[in-house]
Amino acid sequence: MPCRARFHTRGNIVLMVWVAASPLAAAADCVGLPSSLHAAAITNSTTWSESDASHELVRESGTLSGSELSAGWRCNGWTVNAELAQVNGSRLYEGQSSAGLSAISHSAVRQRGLNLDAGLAISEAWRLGGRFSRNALWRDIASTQIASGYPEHFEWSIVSLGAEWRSALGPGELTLAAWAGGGVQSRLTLSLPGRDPARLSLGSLRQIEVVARWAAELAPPWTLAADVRYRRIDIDRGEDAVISRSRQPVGVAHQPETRMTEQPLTIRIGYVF
Amino acid sequence: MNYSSSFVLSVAGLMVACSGGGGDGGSVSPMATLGIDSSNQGVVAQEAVSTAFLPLFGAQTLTGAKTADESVLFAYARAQMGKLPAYIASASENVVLTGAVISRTLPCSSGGTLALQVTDIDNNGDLSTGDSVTLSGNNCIEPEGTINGNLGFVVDSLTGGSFGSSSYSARMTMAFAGFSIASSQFTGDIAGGLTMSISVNGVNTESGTLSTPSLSVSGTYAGVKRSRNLTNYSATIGRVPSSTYSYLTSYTASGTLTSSALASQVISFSTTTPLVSRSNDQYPSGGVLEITGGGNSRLRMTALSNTQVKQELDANGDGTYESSSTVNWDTLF
Repeated sequence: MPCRARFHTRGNIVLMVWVAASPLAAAADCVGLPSSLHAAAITNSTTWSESDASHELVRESGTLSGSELSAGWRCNGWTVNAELAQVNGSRLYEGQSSAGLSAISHSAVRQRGLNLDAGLAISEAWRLGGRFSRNALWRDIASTQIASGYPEHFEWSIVSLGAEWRSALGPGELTLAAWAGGGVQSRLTLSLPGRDPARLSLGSLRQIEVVARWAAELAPPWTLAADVRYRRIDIDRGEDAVISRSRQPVGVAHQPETRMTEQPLTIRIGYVF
Repeated sequence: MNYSSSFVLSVAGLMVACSGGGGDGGSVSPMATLGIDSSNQGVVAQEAVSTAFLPLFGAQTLTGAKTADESVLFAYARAQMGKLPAYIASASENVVLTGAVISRTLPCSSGGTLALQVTDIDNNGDLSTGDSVTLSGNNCIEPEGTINGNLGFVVDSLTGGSFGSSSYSARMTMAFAGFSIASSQFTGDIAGGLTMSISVNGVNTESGTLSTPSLSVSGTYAGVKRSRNLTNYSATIGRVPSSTYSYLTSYTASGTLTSSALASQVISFSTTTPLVSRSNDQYPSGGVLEITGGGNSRLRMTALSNTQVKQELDANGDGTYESSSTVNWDTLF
């Protein structure tokens, strides 16, 4: 179940530090050449919605595509993975202007993510682990005839707990996994037209993710894997921040309650040492 | 929204902007006139343009982050002005006394109440000459924020057709008394009154005027206050059909401005050539606004396109513009 608590509560700080520490500690134990390297192509069907007081303000949808590089290590009963992914693309924007008028536009989106996870096998089929994720998202809303668009830069970090189940399936292996976590850091840099750049804090952040992966040996040492995921990130309404123009205050802004859903399909080629 | 009602609301927006001021009708204490020079020309241009024209062709941004500033006061008043016919119609139900003041209390969407005092002078259920509506927010929580204070409308005359239709003429006054909209880090206040006239003679054939002797608008952002006061303000807005651009809208404005961003000193402004914008443009692509400060110093803003403005400075008031630069419209609003 998702870790819903705000990151600044004491209990959650302890939990999140432990979760974040586990892959790092495992990784430190596993210093050395990776046991496998992977390259992947990703196509990611995404939605993005924003709402205030249960009223939807913005809905975006579109498919992003990109690539991923990853490496795996195995040692002392731990499996450690590091992934770096980037996807780009465009989403249809259906929203409104600051005066509340309906508007249709599009957003150019670039998203980069770094995941570091470590899992400990507790049986032949089951593995439990922790994951640290660092994400950056650039979103540039295109102007319309009635209203100006502008670029935004989101950054957030999440720590998660997860469980994984594996079983042989045909010539390969099926893996099912689930992760749930909460944000430990987040912010938004906003560049409104004609205004000084502003840094906004986001509300508390939660993520859930489920994964289904099938992997098989192609011709040793090469492997082929395909996975589908469903990932949902919920961000609470952020606090108002002062917006200035030439350092004179001229307004306030906040990030509304935001939900991202992603359904990436990944095809991965691996080399096992 | 059709062009006609959109136009009406634009004029209404201007009215509200103007009415935000002092509220007691034009008595202004003497203030120093600000000399315009190279060090302050940027702020002078921003304050003059944003205050004089924001309500007329309000700059809008797309919602990604949700923004709020004093324009939320205008947006709320515009929305309420559009509801006047409905307020009159609903208040007249089950009422038999002609000219009676009907009081109703409406719940707001997220708490608090909005009290209505409606006078349908001829009890015909339609907005007409002599009708009035006063709205009183009592911690009324709407998406715009928490609304308090009074917003009043009086229909001085309405002829030729119903309000918001394709052919009518109207004169209205709008008054604000302790009117504010607040959110967690922002409070916008507006006080004063203004007079508006509008004439609609078919699609894209419309004209309007706005005037006020004095009004003030202020915003407090996380404890930092910005205040602006307009005096002897008047503005016009006109729309004509265009074979090339569907329609063209022209604006004029003149008045005197004091602003906290200008150390509460005075500047005046006037359009020497009407600003003209094409139907699908956010900003005017033609026209000239002249800003005058102490010692006859001047700043001339000439629209170069729907995105850029030429800004020329005559700091010593000798009639010669000694420097020139180009700025984007969106930096001025």
